[in-house]
This record gives sequence, structure tokens and C-alpha cells, in this order.
Amino acid sequence: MNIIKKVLHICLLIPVPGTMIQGSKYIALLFFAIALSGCADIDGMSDEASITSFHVMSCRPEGIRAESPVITGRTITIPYKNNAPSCPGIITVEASYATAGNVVDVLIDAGDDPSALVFEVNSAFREISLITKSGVPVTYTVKLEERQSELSIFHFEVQDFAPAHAGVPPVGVLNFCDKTITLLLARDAFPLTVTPAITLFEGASFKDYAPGAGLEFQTAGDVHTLTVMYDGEELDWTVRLDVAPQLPNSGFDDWFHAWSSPNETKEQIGRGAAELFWCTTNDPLAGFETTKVAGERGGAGDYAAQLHTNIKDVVGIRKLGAAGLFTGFFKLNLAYLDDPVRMTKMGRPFLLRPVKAVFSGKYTAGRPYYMQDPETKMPVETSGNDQGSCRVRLEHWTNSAGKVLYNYTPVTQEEYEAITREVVGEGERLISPVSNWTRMEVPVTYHHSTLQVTHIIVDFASSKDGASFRGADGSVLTVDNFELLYD
Amino acid sequence: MKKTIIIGLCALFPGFSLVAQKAEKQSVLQDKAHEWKVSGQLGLQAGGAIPIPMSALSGDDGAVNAQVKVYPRLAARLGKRLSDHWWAYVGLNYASSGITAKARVKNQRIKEVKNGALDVKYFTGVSLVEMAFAYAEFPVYAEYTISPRNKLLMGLYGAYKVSGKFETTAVKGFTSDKPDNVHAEVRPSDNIRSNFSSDLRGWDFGVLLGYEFAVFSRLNAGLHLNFSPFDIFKAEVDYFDYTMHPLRGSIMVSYDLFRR
Repeated sequence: MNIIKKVLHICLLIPVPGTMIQGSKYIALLFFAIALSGCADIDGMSDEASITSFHVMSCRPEGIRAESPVITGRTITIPYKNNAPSCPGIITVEASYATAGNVVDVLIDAGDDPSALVFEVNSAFREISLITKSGVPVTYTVKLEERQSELSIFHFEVQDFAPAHAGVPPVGVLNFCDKTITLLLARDAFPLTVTPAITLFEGASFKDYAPGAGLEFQTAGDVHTLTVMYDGEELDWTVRLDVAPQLPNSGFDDWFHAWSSPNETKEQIGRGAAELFWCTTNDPLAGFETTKVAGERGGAGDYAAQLHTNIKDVVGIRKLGAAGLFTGFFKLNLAYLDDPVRMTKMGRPFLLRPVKAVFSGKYTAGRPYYMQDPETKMPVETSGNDQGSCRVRLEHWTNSAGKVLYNYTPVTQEEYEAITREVVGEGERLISPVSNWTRMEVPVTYHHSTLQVTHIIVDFASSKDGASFRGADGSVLTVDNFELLYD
Repeated sequence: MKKTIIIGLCALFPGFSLVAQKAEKQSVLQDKAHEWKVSGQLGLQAGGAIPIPMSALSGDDGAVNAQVKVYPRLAARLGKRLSDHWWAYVGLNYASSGITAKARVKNQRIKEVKNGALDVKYFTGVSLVEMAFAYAEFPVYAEYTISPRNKLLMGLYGAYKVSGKFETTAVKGFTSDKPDNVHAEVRPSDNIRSNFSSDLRGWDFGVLLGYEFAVFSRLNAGLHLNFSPFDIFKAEVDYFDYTMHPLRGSIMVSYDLFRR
């Protein structure tokens, strides 16, 4: 009966010889023109849906206090305060929301329960998709935004420091989550005295610290504890140093289980990992691959990242794709298949001026070399030899009002595109074929002598012109142990 | 125009022709008087391929809007009388069919082996299937005379593919590597078009059922329905969770050009 029902569900019009039948007012069993009516009109199915209100029912763990969410376009921001002394690794928000439009399903980017949003780190975001009658998703980005509480340190500005060659950046890196303030140093300069200007909540004060007093550090391991008091409550903040800081996971040893297909399990560096620092373009649909391989040192747990340039069918479209590994975030968008740069948000907060970057690498150049045909957008063979690349760029980010964006990580494409970016310094290393692990350097040239660095971009590519769909099928770049040098 | 066509088609069916009633007895007598006949056939044909199981295409809540192309049918057949009630026929037909179907699908799977690993993707939304086939068809069938005017046909056919097109387009919705997951939105401006035409099998075999009605002594009106238990795709092709089976129908008049 079900098959009969389905057959009768095929909608036809009365046949016209030699022409395409248009419309769907009649139902017939194939061409036998049995006129019925009432078939679902697919073209008339609605694409419209929206979230009209969003309420936070509860938050876990205790100590997390959510405020009223704000819906701006398709971004829902949940402000919250964290007065807990420890850093919650996972924040779970139970929410209820009302929708408008013809919503047939609600899907969340991970997890089964659309009402429970699990944020693994406080800078992560989630996506809620309203599935409309036609199947078109209307996707909202939900992000947490930590608001300073009465016991917070709002701003830690370095007013002065000695000795002068210590080169302490103008701000400390505030971590509201674990209540730390990190001062980055390019090099040892001890004893070091830092005089900060610290902004607190109105009415809050320090317990054992006189504002304007210098904080002395005898060694790199020294810390200072600043206790903030407000209305009888106290909270400790730790001021620490990070000398010659390296980028998180720059040994490429931490990977996470990204997805599974029936015969294959893939791991990925970046998205979903604790650091949210590195990301690759090895999207499960795009198919361009960055894989985990044995690292340079060869020990247990020592991994390297291997990037592959391949010709792939990307959702039915034949493309040459170079793999990328970079500091930032990548999200596949089928609208930008011909402009992959628009799918990436490059840059992570960073404050220092390294003079060079070094890493270990190996490279195999594939054959033949391809370019993209400008008309068909398909790969066509051309002359050329492939090379890998490593690009390092230090940037100064400001918003539209001119405010310097320290420690800022954009979540949505709109936020990313609203940033004004200025290149402070940059360097690039092209990588020719070499079969053994080779130490490679990327000197950084600075265009500005005083402009403050706010973000760093490190971008490895298995084909240097891969973003323009030029490269060789089979090129492989393997990289490990990326380091920044400051002297 | 539609009314004209409906009236024209209905005229071919029993009960609509007074002339046919008068010709009934004469028709039967003449059929028994001949051993061989060659007939020309003229009519309309339409069809395409249907998924089995259909639920794999669109799910329980899915919907399909199909638009069927109708082609003229020009065919010939050679008949041999076996007994008072049975005739045997062989024929030749240029069988054309085509369907454009728009479907609202949910978690439709597309499988592909890439680099030795099974790659599975899912699509939810509106998809468009465009198919068109042309076959040189060779039917072999028997005709059983139920009553002087009414005859049933049953038999087999073989067909050689002259041309074939099978293209799918994910028009709008979303796709992912797992079900119920919005990984990438598909918009009409960035739709995903896949051409499976080169994966179509070059031949087809199936069953033929039909009904014919004697209008005059030399003129019969009839319906033929062809269905194949074989997938339209080559055996090594395994993209979908369903198989696609040719289904064609014809409505025609046959005129006995030669009888002996």
C-alpha cells in the first residue's frame, strides 16, 4: 500500500505530446492521466523561519550566571558572569526559544537535544538550525560572552616597566575563565618591574595591593596574586609571565576525533580542540586533507601535520584543492567554493614581535601541475612546479570606531569582515621538495616600528598558490614543531 | 487543448466507439482467418525510471512533483496466430521517455568510494532529478483473446540504450557527512549538480503487459506497460540507497498493414 501511495504521490499534468508538462495540479499514475488533486507543491514550500525569543532556563556549573540573551540578526549572544574561582571546562546552557515560520525540525550542530547547548570552552559557539518546510536551514549562531563581574579585573594596562629592553606589551592578557593575567615577554629581563593601571568594577577594591604600585618579578616563574573585594566577597587573580611564548599546540601533537565515515575515522587539529587556535581546511565535505602522521621526534604522542594537494570532487564539482593549516577558523560555505579565502577567518590574538619562525618540514611535489580553467572552473594541466609555503603575518586589528582589538576572536563572518586590519610584519617561506626532516626558517620583516601587534596568522599550504586552485595533484607538505624566535 | 487531448485519448478506449461495437463480430472472424500479420503502431509513450523502495528517495514525509515528457510512438510488429485465442508477436519500437522530478528529501544518502574508502554524504532539502532515455526496444509477447473485442498482452522485452541522461541537482537545503546535521547550506545559486549519465547501463530487459481493443477488423487500440526489474545503473555503481527501474507506458492504435 505504501508503494501505491507513493506512486499516487507523483504529481503530473495532462500530457501534451512532445512538450514538457508544467505544473502540478493533477495526480496521475504516470501518463494515464487519472486526475486527482491535493499533491504537495514543492515550489510553494516555505523557506522562512526565525527565532523570535530566546530564554536561558539554567546554566551549569554553579557560579555561572547568564543574563538576558540578545538576538542580533542571526546571532544570539548569551552574556554571563563567572564568579567561580576555577575555570569551568564545559558550560551547559539550557534554553527555550520560540520560532516563527514553517519550522519542521530544529537541529543543533552537535548533540541531540536542541534545548541544551554545550560550550566546551568559553570562546566556542554553537549553531541552531531551523529546518523549514522546504528543507532550507535558517541557522543562528549562539555564543557566550563573558561579562566582567563585580569581582573582575576589567583591564590591565601596562603603564611602565623596567628595564626598558624587556619590551612588555601594553596590555596583559586577561583570562576571565581561570582568573589570570598573563604578561608576555619576548626575552628574559630580570629583575622586572611592571607598573599597571588596573580597572575594577565601581566600588570594588584590592585587598593587599595599592593601585599604582609596581609588581616585581625576579624570575620567569614568579607570580603575583591580586585579591579583588566587593560587598564582602573576594576573588583572587594571578599575574604571571610568559617568556618567549609559543603558539598553543605548535608541535601539532593534539588532535581530536572529528568525524567518522563507515570505513574511515578522521582526526583534525583545531576546531573543537581545547585551544581553538589552529584550523585546517580538511572539511569532511570538501575532502582536502590534513592528516595526523608521526612527528619529527618519533616518540609516542609526537605527531606532525601532513597536508595534501589533491584533485577532488567537492560535492560533485571537480576541483584541485590544496590543504591549509592556519591560525584561525574555517567553515565550508558552498557559495564560496571558488573563493576559499572567504571561508576562512585567519588570525588569533598575539601581542609580540617575533623576528622569525622556524619549523621542521618535508615536501613532495606532485605531478602534473594544474591551474583552474577560467571558464569551466575545472582543473587543466599547465606547466609549472609545485611548492609548499609557510606564511607568517603579524597584524594590528581595530574595530570601526578605532578601538584596538586586543584578545579578540571573531565568531561570525560579519564580525570578521568588520575588522580593520593592518599588516605590522610578515614573512613567507616557499618549500621545495625535500625528503628528510629539514629545519626551515621564515624571517619576519616589519613595516611598522611601533604599531602594536594584536593578532598572528601562520598559514601552511601544501601548494603555495592553492588558494587560486593552482598546484600539483599529489603534493604533500609535512610540518612539525613550529616555533617563534624573538632574538 | 487539454480537453481536446483527453477526448482524443478516451476515444481509443472501450465503450466510447459505436463504430467499434458494429465491427466486433467481423473483427473476430477475420482474425481467425489469418495466420500472419504485420502491423504499424502509432501513439504516445511516456515514462522514466522509478526508485525502489520509494521511501529511500524522499522518506515518509517527503513529496515528489514529477513532470513527465510525452513522446510520439512509432512502432511495428509481426504477429503469428498460434490458436483461436493466442497470437505471438515480435516488434520493434523506438522507446523514448523522460521525467523531471522535484522532490523534498530528508537525509538522502549518496555513497561513493574515494581512495578505497566509502564516502557517504547526506542531503536534506529540495532536489531535482532530470532523466531522459531512448531505447531501441524489441518486445516479444503473446496476445490472449478474452472476448471478440478484448485482448490481453504479456511478454518480455529487450532494449538497447541509444541515449540516456540522468542528472540530479541539490537545489536548496543542506548537506553533511552525517544525517540531521547542517554542515553546509545549499542555496539555489550554489546548487550541487551531479551527472550520472555515464553510469547508465547500455541495455534493459523487462516484462511487458498490455491490453488491446479491436476497433475495426484491422485497427486495434491498446495500452502497453513496460517494467524492468533491472537497475538503470551499471552493476558497479552504488551511489544510492535505492535502485532505479525503467517504467514506460504507451497508448496507441495498431493498424494491420499486411495479413495472410
